[in-house]
Amino acid sequence: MKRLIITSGYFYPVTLLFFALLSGCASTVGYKTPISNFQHASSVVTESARVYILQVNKTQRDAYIDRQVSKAGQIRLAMIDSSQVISSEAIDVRLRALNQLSKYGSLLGQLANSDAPEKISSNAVDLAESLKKLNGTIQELSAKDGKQFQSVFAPASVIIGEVARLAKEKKIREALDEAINKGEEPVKRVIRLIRNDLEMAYQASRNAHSAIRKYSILAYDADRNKGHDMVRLRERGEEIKSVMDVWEGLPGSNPREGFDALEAAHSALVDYAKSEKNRVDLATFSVQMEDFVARATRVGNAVRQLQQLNNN
Amino acid sequence: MDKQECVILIGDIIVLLDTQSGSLSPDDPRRKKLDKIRDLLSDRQLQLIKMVFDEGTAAYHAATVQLKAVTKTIKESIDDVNQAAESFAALAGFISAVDGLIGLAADMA
Repeated sequence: MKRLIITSGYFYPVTLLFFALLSGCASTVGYKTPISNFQHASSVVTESARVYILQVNKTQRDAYIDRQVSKAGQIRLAMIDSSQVISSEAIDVRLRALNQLSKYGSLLGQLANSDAPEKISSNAVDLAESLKKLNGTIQELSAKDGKQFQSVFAPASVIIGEVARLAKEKKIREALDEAINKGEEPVKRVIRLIRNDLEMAYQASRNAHSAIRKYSILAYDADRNKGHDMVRLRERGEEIKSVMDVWEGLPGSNPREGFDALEAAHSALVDYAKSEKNRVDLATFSVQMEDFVARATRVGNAVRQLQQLNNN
Repeated sequence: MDKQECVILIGDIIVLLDTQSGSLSPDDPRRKKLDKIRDLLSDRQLQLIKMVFDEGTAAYHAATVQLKAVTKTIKESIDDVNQAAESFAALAGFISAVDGLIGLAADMA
């Protein structure tokens, strides 16, 4: 009997935790850490994409100029413009959409934590307003830049707007359910579209970096044939080394990896929401979010490193 | 192959051409030829990125099959100095296959 009492006493907190986890439908306690991880990693992915996308057009521009210089050709402004992979308007919309996804991720995190309803409500208002402005901008885009993006973003925008409305009214559980049950596919389609755009930008950037690599060797050869002194040749050698460092780091900086991880994380979030939310489900979910953090951090570091090398 | 895979494939060939060109002496006539083809493919790749395709058509499928087949020949011959003629012929075929793809998108527009 004594043993039984001791055992029950020992397991009492564990039992409480177990029932708390089982009653996940009524409580959002189990989400806290993994949702914070989701929120953090989402921000890393969107920020990396932001840094990356802003660099792509510069790389293209530089490669065109190097190409003309290498053959002493005329540099034309019209050609510089046409060498840009994405128009500035299209870049702006994608960056703002990424910003919405980031805010949406933050709101999900706050809904799950549900410890500051007033803050949730004010952030939901902010999300709803910026979403409205973004939709207005998308409508104004040219058919070429905006048609496809508009068709993919519109359904996600409706769901995000509805989640924001429920959150504004402090209907936290309903907002969370709406986000998880209806938001999955539309949000994933936006993620995939931006991922594909970035993949295209990456390919154009790879092409440009490959050219820059070749021009740096051409420049060294030209100086060598002109009989330049060793100091000049060493400088050229250092330039080649820098260019090759960037080239080597390029595959790791492909933002596609971050978006693949973001999409997988969204699926994991939905799977967890649909599960019985027991200890095993929570542990699985936590591991998936930790994996997301690791993948996002890896891409984030690679993009930052590439940016530093490009700026050198 | 979807459009993205075609763009990646063209990118692989461009990188291959740069590596070849960057390994030849500056006055080697093959270098100028390779650079000319490279610049042409680079422009085509950028065009392709900005285009929209109907990837479900038979014409699109046929164009990508041709692109893939020529790529294989290029990769097999480009390293071999003795196969320079075959290599340049395959590159011409590659450009023609890429132009075929671009033509499909232009028809849609």
